[in-house]
Amino acid sequence: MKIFMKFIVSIMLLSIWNISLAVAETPEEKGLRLAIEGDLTGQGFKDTLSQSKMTLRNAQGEESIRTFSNKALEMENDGDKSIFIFHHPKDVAGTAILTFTHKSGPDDQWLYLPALKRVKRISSDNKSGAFVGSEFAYEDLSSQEIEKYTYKWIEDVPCPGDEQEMCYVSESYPVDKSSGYTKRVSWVDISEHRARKINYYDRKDKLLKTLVLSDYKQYLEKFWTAHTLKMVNHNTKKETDISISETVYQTGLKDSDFNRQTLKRAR
Amino acid sequence: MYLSVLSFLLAFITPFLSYANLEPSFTEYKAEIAIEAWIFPESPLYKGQEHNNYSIAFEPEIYFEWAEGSNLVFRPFMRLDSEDSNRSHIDIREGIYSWYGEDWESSIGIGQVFWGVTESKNLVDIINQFDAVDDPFFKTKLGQPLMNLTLIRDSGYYEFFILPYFRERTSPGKKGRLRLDPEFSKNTTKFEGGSKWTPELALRWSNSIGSYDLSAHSFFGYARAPSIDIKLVEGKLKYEPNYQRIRQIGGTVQKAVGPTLYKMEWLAKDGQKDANFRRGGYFASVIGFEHTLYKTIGDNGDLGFLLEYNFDSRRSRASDSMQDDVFIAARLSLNDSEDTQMLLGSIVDLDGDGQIYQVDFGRRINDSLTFGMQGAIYQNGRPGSNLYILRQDSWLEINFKQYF
Repeated sequence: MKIFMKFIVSIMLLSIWNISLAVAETPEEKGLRLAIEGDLTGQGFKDTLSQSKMTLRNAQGEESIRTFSNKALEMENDGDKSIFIFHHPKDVAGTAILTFTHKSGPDDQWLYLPALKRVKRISSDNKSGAFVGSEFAYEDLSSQEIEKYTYKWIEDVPCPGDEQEMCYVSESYPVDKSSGYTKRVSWVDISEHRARKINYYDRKDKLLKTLVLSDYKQYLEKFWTAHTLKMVNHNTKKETDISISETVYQTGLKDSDFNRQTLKRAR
Repeated sequence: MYLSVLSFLLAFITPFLSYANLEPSFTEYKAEIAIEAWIFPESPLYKGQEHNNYSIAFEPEIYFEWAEGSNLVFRPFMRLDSEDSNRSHIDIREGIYSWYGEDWESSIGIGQVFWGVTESKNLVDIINQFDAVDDPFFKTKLGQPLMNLTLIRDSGYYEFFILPYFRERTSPGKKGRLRLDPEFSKNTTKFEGGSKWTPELALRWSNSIGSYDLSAHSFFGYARAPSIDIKLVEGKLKYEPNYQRIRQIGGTVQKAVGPTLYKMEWLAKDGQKDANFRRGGYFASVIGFEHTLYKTIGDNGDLGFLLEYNFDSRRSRASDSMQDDVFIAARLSLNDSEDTQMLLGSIVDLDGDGQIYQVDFGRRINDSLTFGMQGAIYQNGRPGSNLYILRQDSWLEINFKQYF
């Protein structure tokens, strides 16, 4: 009996210790935990195929259009693989980009130039560079691996543009020095881990861009996908909208669909 | 003759097509029309040459894809030139049927293949012949009849080629610029050790290991660059192109380190005649790097610096004019909605045989129209050298391309 009581007490003590641990979770630990939870909601997607239209708008409101399709493949022990294929404008039709993201170390990236039939390696440091002249940088569109950032939770607030939902605000700091940012501040809803808004801060820690994500649709009763992305550059007043017309999950793409040979066949 | 090989290949392909006797799952038709002005500010040196060329080029493309894993590309090309009859020409850039599985691909027909990593010259790029009359920068190539098998393994990509027919390099006619005097004689080309129909073989392995891209190849066939036989026919000087059978091994190495790409191409070749008409072995390489500063110009512009060294062990006896030359260039990509790009470069011969300055500019005008400007200045060539021959032929090309 005595032993039993001792057991109960120790259990109670343990759980109190646990609670105090939870209370003592630092903002950094909470930020990381939330990032991992968010990442888990996207796990198991296997592969996706999507068609996108990108509208580039300058400060005068003049627009130009890009269209592209994107294939992505989830990898078990490494970052995702993806292929972007451009369809419009016509002079770049058939140009394609193959990316192997890695959880640690630089990504591998190749560009296919159809006029020359040339597959050309791109320096991974181009991640801060503009994606086909848009306000999106390569790193904004590449697979978001947990290991590529460190995190800090800031506060919980009503979601921007959707006061009914609560969002957690957290900051993420790129690990890689070649990133164009010192930090990102994101508003992510607590219920489904959907990013609603992201602020990007440049290397001088000044607010550079804001991305607003909307038109979320759920696929396979699990995966939430934003179908409208609006990026505004506060310096240049230029904007880029991406509207994803179609996303298909688990189309049966395989690792063998993502290599330099298939890159040359991409249409 | 060349047309008969086409029909032969088509006959070969047809059974595969009828096997896949189904509606293509994907079809695409497109075309581009280019209008070009090719301007030579300096007076021509040789009799018959004209000042400027104006030309129009048409390149349609038909693409069929079948869901079972095969596709067909047909892409003919034609150019009409106001001056040079050799520049008015027709070529089938691609006419090729490919079928493929998870870890292999095979094709038959007329194809375009690019091997290489460097920018100033691609030593290892030997499958296709250059369409030298179409593009003085030697980036445009003639369609090459070929049969190919590519195997994709964990240890790399293994490519096997049989090339049943040799394409001669195009060369300017009597009215054309950028040529010798007199121009190459027609229909007197010699093929040492065979004919145009003597098959050629090529093998290549390539792979990416970490941040390294590696490749190695071997080739048995004709050298792509002709040597020149000088003859006196009825008291007149004649230049006749002459192709030799060669054996070649070579490779490429490329490594990405942060914003810098290190690049090397090398080859060892045996059988080709040098500038003194002596046959022998030699070694050549291009080694250099490309360093890019991202987002340094304007809002989004990237600025890249390129430095490459071209070496040929035959030195002054080299048939290639880039035998001990440094290539320095700056590449500007504005990353704007018009995709403005410019390359400014210079090739300096360390042996004192002159310099070449190059410009290559491109910009989109609207969704289906682009503007391009290319040019080269040839300076201080030593008398008797390849560059000296071009001393009056510095040029500027302006082109508009309409896409359909």
